[in-house]
Amino acid sequence: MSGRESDATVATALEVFRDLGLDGEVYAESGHRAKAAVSDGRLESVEEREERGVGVRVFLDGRVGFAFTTDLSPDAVREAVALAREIAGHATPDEAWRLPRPEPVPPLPFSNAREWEGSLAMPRRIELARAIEAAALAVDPRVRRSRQAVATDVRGDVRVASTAGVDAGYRFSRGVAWVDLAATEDGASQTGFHAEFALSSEEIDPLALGCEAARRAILKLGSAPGKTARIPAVLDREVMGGLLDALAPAFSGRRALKGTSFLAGRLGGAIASRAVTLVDDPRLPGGCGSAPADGEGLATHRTVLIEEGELRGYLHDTYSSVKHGSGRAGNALRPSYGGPPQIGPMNLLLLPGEAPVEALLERAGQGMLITEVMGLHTVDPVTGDFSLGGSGRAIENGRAGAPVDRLAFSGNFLALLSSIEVVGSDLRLFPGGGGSPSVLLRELSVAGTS
Amino acid sequence: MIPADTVRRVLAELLSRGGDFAEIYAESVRGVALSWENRTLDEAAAGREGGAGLRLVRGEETLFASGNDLSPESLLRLASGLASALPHGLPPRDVPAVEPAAARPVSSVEIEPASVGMDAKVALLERADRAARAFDPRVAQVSARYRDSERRVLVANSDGLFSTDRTVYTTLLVSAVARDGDLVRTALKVASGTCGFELTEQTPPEELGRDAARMACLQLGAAPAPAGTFTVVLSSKAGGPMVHEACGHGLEGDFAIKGLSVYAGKVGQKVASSLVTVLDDGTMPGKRGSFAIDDEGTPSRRTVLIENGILKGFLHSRRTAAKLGEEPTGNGRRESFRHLPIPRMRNTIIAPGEDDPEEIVASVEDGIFVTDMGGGEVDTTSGNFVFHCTEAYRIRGGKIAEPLRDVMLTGNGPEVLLKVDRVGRDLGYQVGTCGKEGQGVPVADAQPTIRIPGIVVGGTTP
Repeated sequence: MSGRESDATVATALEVFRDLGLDGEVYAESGHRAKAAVSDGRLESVEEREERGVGVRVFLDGRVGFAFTTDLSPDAVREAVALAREIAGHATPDEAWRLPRPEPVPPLPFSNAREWEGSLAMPRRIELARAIEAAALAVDPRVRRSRQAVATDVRGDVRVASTAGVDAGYRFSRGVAWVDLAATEDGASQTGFHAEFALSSEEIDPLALGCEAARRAILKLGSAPGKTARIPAVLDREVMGGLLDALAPAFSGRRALKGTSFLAGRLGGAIASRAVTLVDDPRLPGGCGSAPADGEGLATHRTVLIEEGELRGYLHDTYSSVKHGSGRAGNALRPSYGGPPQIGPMNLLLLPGEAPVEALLERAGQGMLITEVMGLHTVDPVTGDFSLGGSGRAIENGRAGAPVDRLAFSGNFLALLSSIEVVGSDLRLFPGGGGSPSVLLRELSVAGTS
Repeated sequence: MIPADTVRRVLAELLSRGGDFAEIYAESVRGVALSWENRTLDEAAAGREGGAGLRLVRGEETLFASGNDLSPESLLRLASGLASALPHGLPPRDVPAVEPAAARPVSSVEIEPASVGMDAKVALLERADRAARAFDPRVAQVSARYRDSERRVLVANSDGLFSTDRTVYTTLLVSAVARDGDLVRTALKVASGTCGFELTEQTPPEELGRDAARMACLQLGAAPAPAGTFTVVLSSKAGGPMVHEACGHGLEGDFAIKGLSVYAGKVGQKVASSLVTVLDDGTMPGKRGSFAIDDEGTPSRRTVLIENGILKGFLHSRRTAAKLGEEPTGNGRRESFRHLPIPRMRNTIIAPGEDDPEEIVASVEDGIFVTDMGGGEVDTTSGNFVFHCTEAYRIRGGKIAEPLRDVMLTGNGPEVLLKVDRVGRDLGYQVGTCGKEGQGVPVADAQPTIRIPGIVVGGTTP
């Protein structure tokens, strides 16, 4: 869908709202995605996706209903509005459900999209995937095969408008590439994965990406089950980033209202060690989640969530900010046109400290460096409890030593955040948005076989 | 959805510059999702989406394009784009003229969800909420979700397959938060199947609400899990997340082909205790992982993966089957028209054995009894897996003792399956949505009560 088609859809929806005398909001999205996958030096697949859709919200005396369609004909849009209105009739009234008030949306002070020519420009993407795989396989003879090396590009066009006068839109593009490979030694295999992103896949360095994935697999070779112990631990930045992602729902203002977050009622309280400052920065240059407007068409802005260990705020959409009577809206996410806005961070960022990761290991002395975790989707934002599997390396005399796997560890985020002694300087921005450095934990209880 | 004539023209266009295989997969989905929180209908959404995915295969290469627009012009444009992306043009290939045939359904729908008014659906959520809160005053918050969807698909390919199918899913989910002072615990219960609104009569919302409340309150009094190595009894009530993680993923053909599964190249070898037989069955009426045809049009079936401990085969899509010279097993699934099909599980089951489940518990001097499992994850290459136990007890002197919280089990798939030394004669199911390569598909898994000596438990008490 070109920008023009999206404009036409938005205009149709606004017209239907006015015809029916409804307070309404329309969200229209169109995107184009291209992907090349290579395995064992051969092209495996190329994919191209054209996607478009529209979601409408109707507000009826403090009640809200949502409907969506991928059929953009005026009749289908009209039908979606009628459905949203019907659904609103069944909703529980709450005067905080109201159309967001329009506000100026400043553009991002940096480029958030690259144009890419033609429908495919596929050959360059295929070459990139091949180069990534070749770089990885050249690192070490023990890296024998890759499951897949992939290069993708996505570009999208988003527009939100309402009968209250909201009218925001923006374009974005991202290139993401990754390789998933295996290293084998003495009949045992270990996987290595790494991903990088940029505004376009062309800007990704295949050599660095391939080498990092290979390095991760090789370091895991010869892994032995770990021991049960309570020890200092360094969480690799990828692991800490994964934990922060899992923690993100707990900052939702709506969850805080309902008591379905372990952070509810803790505003102003100490929830982490003083080393921890956590922000959501949707206007972060180079952030994968950066965008000028949120899913309600409001300006995005930086929110301090934890400052030197104290809980400073939650994330809000219009409903949540009205309900709290404080806090600024602008954190409505639209994972798809097929659902109403959800609250969440766009670039959740743990601000880095000054110590390089080597200093963290040295300070740990004897402990465990955790480089991978499994089971992050089981983290419970209501209680903050987590139970994870993991692998990594034993820290011996302040250095990363023998590889260890089949570790299990359970705990609570409050305890984990409070146990952070040092935040490293090795900040990395992740392909899913946000970023994190590595951290040193005073103590972590890990279970192994002996 | 798409006229037969258009389907043939699109396939012909795909093969206009040669190629070994062309396919069109079109889909139209209608759905309703209701979310109840804090005693109110928090979110209500409904809608429809549709689109098509076109696939062109030549040699080892697959070209794929998808879009929302099902008009003949748009489909032909996508098809011609793919054909012209082939590096060397060859003579066009003929496409056989075939009439569409509707697949014979595996599951039946007694009450069409679309025929049920919104009020009745909202009422379910309120009933679940009331039952959960009435169960125990410590229940502080209840969330409930209702979803139904109807998925119509059309698959046609250049081999002369042209099938249509329709699957209806209904899901009811209740989560309870229990609070005692500063202590907060949660529990989640789900009912879901390839069936209609009758699901909510077979499993009434009150039952799910009470069960979620019971589990959450139980967790309030649960002791922290011990960390270390234990004999674990997995109850049939917990269903089969363990079999899903410990062996199911490793038996998906794509991992096996690339030598990236710990089970690769081991057909005919012993990979589990001789008490263990594992099946993947897509033909069980009403189960969440069932369907008439997979997303490549292959009829669903029952596939034996491990028989009495011996590895029998893998789960295949057309592509992975062809690569190993085997038959497709009806496991080629995709999340939507936007995705290429890959080998996925359906309903994965450890077959019941002969032991008395109660006797299995009684046989353990000191161990852990697991009666509910949450999600898990596996690294198929090493075979290492984890899963989270949401209801578990200590076994002391053969008796079920205090409840435990935060129990995490971790191990290596083949090692753990080889250790299984007791298999009960019961069978229990659990439902889920399995994620792989960014694609989520509905599945179920099941197992009898089994005993595993020496599995690592991650807890907080050394």
